[in-house]
Amino acid sequence: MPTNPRIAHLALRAGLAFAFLYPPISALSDPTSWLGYFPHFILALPVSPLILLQAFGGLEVAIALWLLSGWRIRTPATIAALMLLGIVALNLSQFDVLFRDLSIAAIALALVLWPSPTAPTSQSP
Amino acid sequence: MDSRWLGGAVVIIIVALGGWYVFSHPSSPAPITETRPVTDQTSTTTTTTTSTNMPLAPVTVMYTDNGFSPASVTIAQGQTVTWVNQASDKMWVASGVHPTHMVYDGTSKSQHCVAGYAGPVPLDECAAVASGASYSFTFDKAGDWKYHNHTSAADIGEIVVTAAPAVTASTTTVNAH
Repeated sequence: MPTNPRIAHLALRAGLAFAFLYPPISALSDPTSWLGYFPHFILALPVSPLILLQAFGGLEVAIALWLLSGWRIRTPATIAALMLLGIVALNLSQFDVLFRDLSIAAIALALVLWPSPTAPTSQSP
Repeated sequence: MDSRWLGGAVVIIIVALGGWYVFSHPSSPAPITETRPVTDQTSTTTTTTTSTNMPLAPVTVMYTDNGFSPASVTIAQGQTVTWVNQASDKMWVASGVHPTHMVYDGTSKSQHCVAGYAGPVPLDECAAVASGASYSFTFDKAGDWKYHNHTSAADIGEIVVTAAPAVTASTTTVNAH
């Protein structure tokens, strides 16, 4: 176990949350770069791509805040891991860039597997 | 939820994903080499050969709903490639890697896609064009240049640019006898 599990847990949550906060913030000024990661079948939906991007961004912000809160951490961490794996799976041709998402998914996995009895959230008032 | 099962499931997904990528990721498709037509010389009696720098015919790459075709093209330095959008969606041809587009000329999209940019000509359409439109770019640098559609980054292709050879033009004379 880490010598300071509370800080270690917070570092994992903050790092993972940042990975979910940066894209929607960046998409405000450069939406096309992030739309490029959407697969064809998503872009083919009868909804404006920008609306889809904003909705996805809202989901990312919600997950980031949930991760930062630490409340029932396994749920947002699991969702985060699956989202990251999905993004990689749907953009394998961009693996040279997205390989990092697998590393970030491992952070999410660490939060999922973090032992409950010493989890900082269970110790916090 | 039992964290052991959950963790195991995520690990299995990661391993499966990696395996799938390694074994299903297609190796670079056989490049299509554009060659100049060779004149039939069987009926000639005299041949005069001169070396000139003749312009090379442009190469066309189609963009459809299935991606770029051909996905790999081999051309000579100085040759032009024209991408034609025949897809139902928009096309924005750009150098790798998404989303910075820096590989070909070393400048990023935020640098070379702005008004007043005066640097080297980027391999970047800098705008999404609708079906029916086209984009042309002349490759002045030899190398293996990956590109993609910025609006659908999973669609990729490559242009292999070989160093410019001396182009030989042959003049033939048909035997009058």
